[in-house]
Amino acid sequence: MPAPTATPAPKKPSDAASALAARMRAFDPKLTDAELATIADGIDGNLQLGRAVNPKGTAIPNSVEPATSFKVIVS
Amino acid sequence: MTEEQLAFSDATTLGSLIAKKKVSSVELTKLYLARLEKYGSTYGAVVTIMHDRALREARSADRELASGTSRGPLHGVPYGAKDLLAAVGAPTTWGAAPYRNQVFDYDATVVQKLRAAGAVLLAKLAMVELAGGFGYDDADASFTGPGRTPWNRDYWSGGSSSGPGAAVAAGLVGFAIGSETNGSIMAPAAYCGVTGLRPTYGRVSRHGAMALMWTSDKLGPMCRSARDSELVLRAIAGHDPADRTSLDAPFPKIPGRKPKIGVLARSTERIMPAVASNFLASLDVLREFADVVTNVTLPRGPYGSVFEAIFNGECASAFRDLIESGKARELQSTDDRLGGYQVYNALAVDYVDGMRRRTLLNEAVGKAFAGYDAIVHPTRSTVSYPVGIKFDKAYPSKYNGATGLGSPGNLAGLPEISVPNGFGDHNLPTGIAMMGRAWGEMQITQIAKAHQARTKFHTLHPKLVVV
Repeated sequence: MPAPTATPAPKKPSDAASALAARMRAFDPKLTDAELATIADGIDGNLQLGRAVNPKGTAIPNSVEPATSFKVIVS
Repeated sequence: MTEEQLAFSDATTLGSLIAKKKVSSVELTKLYLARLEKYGSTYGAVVTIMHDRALREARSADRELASGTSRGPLHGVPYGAKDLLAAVGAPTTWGAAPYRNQVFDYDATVVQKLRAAGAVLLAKLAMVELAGGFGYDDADASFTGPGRTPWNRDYWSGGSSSGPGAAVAAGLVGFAIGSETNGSIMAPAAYCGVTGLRPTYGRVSRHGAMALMWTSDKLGPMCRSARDSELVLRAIAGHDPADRTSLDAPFPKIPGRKPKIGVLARSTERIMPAVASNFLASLDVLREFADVVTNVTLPRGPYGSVFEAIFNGECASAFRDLIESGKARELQSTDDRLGGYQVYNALAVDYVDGMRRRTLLNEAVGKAFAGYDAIVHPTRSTVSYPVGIKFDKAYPSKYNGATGLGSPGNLAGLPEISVPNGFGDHNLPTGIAMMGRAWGEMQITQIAKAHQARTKFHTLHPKLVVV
């Protein structure tokens, strides 16, 4: 059996994520503080996603276009 | 043939029996309607049974046949549609309480195409709410209750096409139509022991289907055999002016040589022992008729993060109305009630970067797998999850859920088929997945058919209970 380890304290969401989460009460005034903390935690995940999409040393070349491209409609 | 044998026959057999007038479409439709009534709720498989429409279509099919008109191999064969497909005569709930009374006055294009092929719509089948868009974390994520696999109803039928998987496995329909954005056909196919085919992106029109992620949503057949998947796909494929992404792409001719199959590297790592041994046994079957190359590596990602960045933006846009209405609180899964607010706050720059990174990843995947007719891997790393336990608590974390080609394949829009290949813990089925090249559905279906010609797993069916 592995040695018991202390459970890490839950990480406090960032101020930016908490502020964005608090805005969601405009849509659902019943959101509790605990629910806002969960939403803020998810938003912090969003904020880290940009780094994951762009790992260090693998910048997307400027010329690479998105997988779906805009096309003009010829009328 | 007993009623039980008839109910579990594949659609190809059913169509043949109808064509030979050994059974009528009305008789078959009544049999399936009775089974849907008897077993549907036990397995959380059904939202709405469409008695009137089904019998009307079945009578019409029989009348046409009596007058010498056949619409093809699916003429008179009854089927079910995942409840994200619009159909006249029933609500289209998207599996979610906020939409339980939503009604459309038209049929989705796939429903229209199956009607044109003579098939009979029996029922709207259950699904994970919003096809899993807001991040559910256990099986109880639909307003109709958890989907349960007919092999052991204490376990999940998979998602998000939970109803199609369970209904096909339980012999409640002749075949079903499911949908996949990232695993929603493959997972229930594996967990229910059925054959699921995810077509190439653009092969099948999504008009009339709930949108979750426009650049990854696909509709495809879930059946009791690979040959059925081919029949159904041919019936629903093709360009539709109502879906600008749909194409009249040809089905390339299958080459006369042995198929070349690549085995994804590290496929048997971090998976349940029974899943691994069944996969290795399947490779031996494949070697009987194909050249099998092991240790084929996937180009470096990051696939999961790129998928998530794109998904967040498209999902938030698709469900902006729901999120801003505050009605996400009515969703079944506690995670789903909050998950919409997370995706709503995704950054635009991450979405665009995700789509740009997708360009590079898709090119790399296409290049790496170009020499193969199929790349194979275990469909899932475990058997199904128990109902009532959070997914991340069900099994040791070393078994990481999805296997290696979920996000890469869906980002690239490539086709994949999952076929049953044995059983593991708790009498639960396992599957092997075969991913093909773009528009290569017939190649992977051919390989799946050859696998099924040498195995019996797709012909086995569960002993059902009524609760």
